[in-house]
Amino acid sequence: MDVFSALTSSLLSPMVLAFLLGIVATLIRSDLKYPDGLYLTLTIYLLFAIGFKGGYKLSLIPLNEFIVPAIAGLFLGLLIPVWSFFLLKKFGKFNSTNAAAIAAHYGSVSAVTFGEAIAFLDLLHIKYEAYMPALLAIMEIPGIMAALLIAKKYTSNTTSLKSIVHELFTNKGTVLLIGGLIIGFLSGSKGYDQVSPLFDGLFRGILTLFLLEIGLVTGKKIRDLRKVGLFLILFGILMPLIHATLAIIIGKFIGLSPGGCMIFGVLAASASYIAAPAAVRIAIPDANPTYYLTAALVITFPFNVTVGLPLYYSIAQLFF
Amino acid sequence: MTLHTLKLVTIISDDVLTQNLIADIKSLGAKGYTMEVAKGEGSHSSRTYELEGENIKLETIVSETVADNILMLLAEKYFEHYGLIAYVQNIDVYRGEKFI
Repeated sequence: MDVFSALTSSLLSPMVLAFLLGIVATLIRSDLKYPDGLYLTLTIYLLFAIGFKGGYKLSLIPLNEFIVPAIAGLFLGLLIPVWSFFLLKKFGKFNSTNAAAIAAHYGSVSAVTFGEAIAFLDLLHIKYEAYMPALLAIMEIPGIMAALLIAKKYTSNTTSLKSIVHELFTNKGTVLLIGGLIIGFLSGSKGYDQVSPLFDGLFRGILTLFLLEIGLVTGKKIRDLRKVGLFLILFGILMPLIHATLAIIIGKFIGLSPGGCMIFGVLAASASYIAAPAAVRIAIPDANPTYYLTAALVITFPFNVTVGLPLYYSIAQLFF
Repeated sequence: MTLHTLKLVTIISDDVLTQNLIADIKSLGAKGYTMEVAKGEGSHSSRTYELEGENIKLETIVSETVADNILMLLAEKYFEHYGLIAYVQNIDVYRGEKFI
């Protein structure tokens, strides 16, 4: 498939259009607003569904296939925050606190962007390795951990390592994703058949509603773009591109399929806005949310789900 | 039934601190608490959408000494870095012995 048709199919997906609707609704000052608790409800559904489906797929393959990709994922997750931190500090002139907070978001991954990538590939009937959701789970924490350790080293931050680790491993995102993976894995095909109408059948519809809400929040935060400066805007677009390309090359090297390479690229390119903000709020409370939330949510996320997905797929195709 | 004059300590903070704050006030002698979700904007950051995380409003009825200790601990652990508001009010409660 060529870049143009991939781009069209990505831009005209209900999810992306719903995201744009959210932005438009804010710009025209609509009174559209999700009721309290709905965002959290949709998040719980999405994270559990992604984990559960991933666990089920993982139960169908020999686990040793997953070892090398898992190491590659860990490796990238740990390294991305390191260079992100130094780039933000040296060239972006951010202080150590804000640089580490932003680095934590880019080191981690976005489960919703991953969900979008899967929906994108499924729609085009492109195959990818069954262990990709497990890779998502593995890559969620190390990047945040690395960035928080950098913050500890370079700032006067006194949050104890114990409370950081506790926050990372017990936050709802991790519990739902890893819990879902384990449940999906243990319950196998029999379990999957019982609940798949909810967790598989409704997935894209619920993802669409979720993206509408993200669009509403993004729309309200668009004016923060002026506050964050040109460097962060460029960082939020170029770093995902570089990270995706790097991951695709590594993916090719370790023998992933084109679809698998693209998803690995998406994981490396995406910035977390569920697990990382929560961890940063507790561990680096002095960091300014305008920087890290705007970068992850208003710049990188829209870039990834609109242009990023077809672009990463096209990059992956170059290597095959 | 007689009324006891006690202190109502109210803490408004980022919800990521919920568990820590509850453990802190209990360790200083608070017998219980009431908590609700709060939204708002302040000098530290704004919490107007669920996605940004939420604030909590944590209230506890305690003796004057415990109230002082709670405020001292909050000042020491949180005031400098976290977005946190705390205030104390005098209140008259029935069954005051429940709280001290």
